[in-house]
Amino acid sequence: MNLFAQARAGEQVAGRGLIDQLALLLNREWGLLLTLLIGGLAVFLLLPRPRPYPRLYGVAAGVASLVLVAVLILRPMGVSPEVVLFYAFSALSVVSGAMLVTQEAPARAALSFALVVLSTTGLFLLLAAPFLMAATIIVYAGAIIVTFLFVIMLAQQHGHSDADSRSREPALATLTGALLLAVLLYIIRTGHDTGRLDGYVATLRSAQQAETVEEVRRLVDPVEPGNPAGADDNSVLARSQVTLRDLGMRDLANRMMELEQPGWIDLINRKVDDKDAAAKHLDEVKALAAQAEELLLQGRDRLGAAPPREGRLLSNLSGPSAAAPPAEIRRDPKTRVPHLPAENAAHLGRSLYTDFLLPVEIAGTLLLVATVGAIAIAQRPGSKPDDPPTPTSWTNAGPPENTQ
Amino acid sequence: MTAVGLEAYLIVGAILFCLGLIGFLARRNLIVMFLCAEMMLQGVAINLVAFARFRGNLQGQAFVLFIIAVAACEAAIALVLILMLYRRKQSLDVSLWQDMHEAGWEPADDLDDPLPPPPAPEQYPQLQPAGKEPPRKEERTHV
Repeated sequence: MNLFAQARAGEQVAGRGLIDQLALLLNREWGLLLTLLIGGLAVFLLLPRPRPYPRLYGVAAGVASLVLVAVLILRPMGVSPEVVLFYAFSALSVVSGAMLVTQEAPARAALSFALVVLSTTGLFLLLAAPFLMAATIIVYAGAIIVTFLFVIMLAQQHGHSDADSRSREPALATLTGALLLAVLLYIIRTGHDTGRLDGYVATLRSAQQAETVEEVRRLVDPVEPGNPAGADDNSVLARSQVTLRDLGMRDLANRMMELEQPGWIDLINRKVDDKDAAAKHLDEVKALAAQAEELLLQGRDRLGAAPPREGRLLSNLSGPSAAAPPAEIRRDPKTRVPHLPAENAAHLGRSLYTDFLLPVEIAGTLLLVATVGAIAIAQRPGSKPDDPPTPTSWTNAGPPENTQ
Repeated sequence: MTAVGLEAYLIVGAILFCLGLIGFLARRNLIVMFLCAEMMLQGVAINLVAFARFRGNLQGQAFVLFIIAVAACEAAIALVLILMLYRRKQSLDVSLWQDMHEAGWEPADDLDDPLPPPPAPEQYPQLQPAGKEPPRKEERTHV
């Protein structure tokens, strides 16, 4: 089989040469690279230039890259209010971010940043952080942006200057950003990819809906006719054991192994004659499948989490301690997302003043020092302006010919 | 399975971070560069809050509060420093400070690529000045 077919079959390629590994990576992640190519092109075309490319090309490339992100990079989710709101807020924040980067007039850039902050706070609200939503809007959109709008008003009274219509190294900057984004998206994908575990869970769930033991066996452990179950190591239980071990969850893999041998193999190979015992047999088989599914769901919950260090008890004042066994964390039964306290501000306050008391004090000191420092620097006797600026750009007084 | 997974929020955070990076490197206005740096902080904040949500822990949210506090301090100090720089050169252009470059590096020169001339100010038609105001009749009666 050639390299690309091997890649599609998902085989390991460790140990091959660098060029081979790069080619394999390119083949597997073509969606990511295509999206980033078009997105990078959009930003590059839209960055301010003395003679800009027609805006339409950049905007079209931007829209295309957004659609590609939604289709190729984000996994398809169902349609629900949460998903619709997530798409709306994240699209708005990315579009406003692109506008912030590519707008010529700095006042418009500041307003685009306000829009970025508002859509980011919408995402905070979706993530059960209402206090942070309010705090971010007040501090960022209310204080920081307004302050900088004042500075723009006082410093650049004639709209945007020559310097604003130019970019420094647009091609290299876009390449750097796109490269970093490629690496980040790849790491996110491989670190949080639940595809394989989801496949096993789906198989076990459909097995639990089966009518006969034969159907269950066919779904979970497709074997050659004549071979006893468990002979090929091809069952979902065996393969999920390998996957769990690959993901570093050895305890779950061991429990899955205990479930399989002798539990599953004996159960599925048992011959039952009369009807009542057959019904009970089916129930036992389904119960075992349910246990295996629970193990896989626990593995899925823990995916991407770093294990806490041995021997150090972490506090449980900010939520369930990271050192607590996973079974103790209360989860929503359907979505398996851990519960967060409804009184967000109260619990956040408790967390800040117990777990994070020292950082709070340090942050207060930092604010004081920043205030004192800002006033001290601004109060310095006004430094003489330098010689008139070199004519690489207009000053804020506008173009030379314009007399007002 | 939850409708919107952790991965989706992390992707949004990464995109905002990298857009901010591109803007910080490419733009020349000091204020816009600072706003792009703030956008990078917003991307990080989304990451932290998403992890807090999907781990059931408020530590991520506490961290974001500290990020907001530090960003406010940073905005104050950055503002003052930009003010100092503006007083020197009367401009918010960061390229005017290219003399601080490292040795052996040629600063960029914009003179070869002038902007297109601005549109001429609009010419309005010149009208004849209005005629003398005709004398008014005196009011005979006063109410």
